[in-house]
Amino acid sequence: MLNKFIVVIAAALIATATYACDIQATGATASFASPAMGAGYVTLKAANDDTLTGLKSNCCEAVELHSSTMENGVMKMRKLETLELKAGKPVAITKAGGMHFMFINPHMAYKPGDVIGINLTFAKAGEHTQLFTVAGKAGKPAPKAKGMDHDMGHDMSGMDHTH
Amino acid sequence: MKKIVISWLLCVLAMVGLLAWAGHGVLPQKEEFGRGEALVKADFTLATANNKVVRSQDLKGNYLLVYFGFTHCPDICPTTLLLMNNVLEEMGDHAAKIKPIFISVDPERDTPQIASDYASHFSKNFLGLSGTPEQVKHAADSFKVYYSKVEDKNSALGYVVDHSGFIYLMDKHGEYLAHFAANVSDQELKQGLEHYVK
Repeated sequence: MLNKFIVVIAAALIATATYACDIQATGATASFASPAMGAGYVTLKAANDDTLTGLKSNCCEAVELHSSTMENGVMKMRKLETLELKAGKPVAITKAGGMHFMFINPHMAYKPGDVIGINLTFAKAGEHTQLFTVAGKAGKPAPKAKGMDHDMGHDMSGMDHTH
Repeated sequence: MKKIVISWLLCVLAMVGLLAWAGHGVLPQKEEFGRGEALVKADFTLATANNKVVRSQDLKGNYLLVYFGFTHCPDICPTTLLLMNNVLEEMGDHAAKIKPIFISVDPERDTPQIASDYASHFSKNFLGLSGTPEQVKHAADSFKVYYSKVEDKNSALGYVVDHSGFIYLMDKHGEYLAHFAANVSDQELKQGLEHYVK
């Protein structure tokens, strides 16, 4: 009976650990070109096939995922309702990847070095809280004097899993 | 009577033939003048901070580096404006003759003050302009810039603005010199500016 109980506990712990590692995020940064609008960038990797289905934050009136494309010299920005993630394949929500999170009407003026928390909801992995460090204007590195690490490659995935 | 009608018909045919021949001779010359680049001009009356009116002719004597965008564009627009500013900073004194300008294609949301505040976020030298929808249309038309409002009721933004993504370099008289794609590298933009700005 005791053995069975231990197995159940161990299985539950393994399941929790796997769940917490389902989503990996690297290089989460934000930039604010105007007081009304900011952009967030991150590279996401899911352990299993998954779908990003929702975004929430207290930072702003709304947080949305947008694509930016150039077609025949015309720039187009569109809201994306969901984002598919293939198991183990990184998806760059970055300038290079043609996507960004959009922070619409922030509730305060964010400065370089500030940190913004966003709740990302995945169809399988559930909720994942991601912290975005505010960089200098439009992606310029924030001054180091703030005492924060702003390297684009900085992995924040270990800091902030809330499940 | 028949002869008169036939004479008139011949006359009309001769006139049509003459016009067609004349047109044939004239039209190709007009096409030579119609090459696209020469048609791009800086011709605008817009406004900046404190609703101060800025006319294109007020800026004569400066080379103009112009980008059209909108302040609710958090990604490509700020990246492009930052690129323009970085290159001008790198050019040092050589850039003193170049006036960087941001013109909003979203006059509904971007007042002249908002456009100015947005542009000055990148550099104090940046001139941010907006105006009435008609003034913005006139400015965009003079640069042959396309823009179009696209509704999106699912977005908190309500709408976005598709727009041409070129950076225009105009000479001291507001005439076209060159344009650069928004994804131009800073080296390419710098080389282009150094080539044209004397």
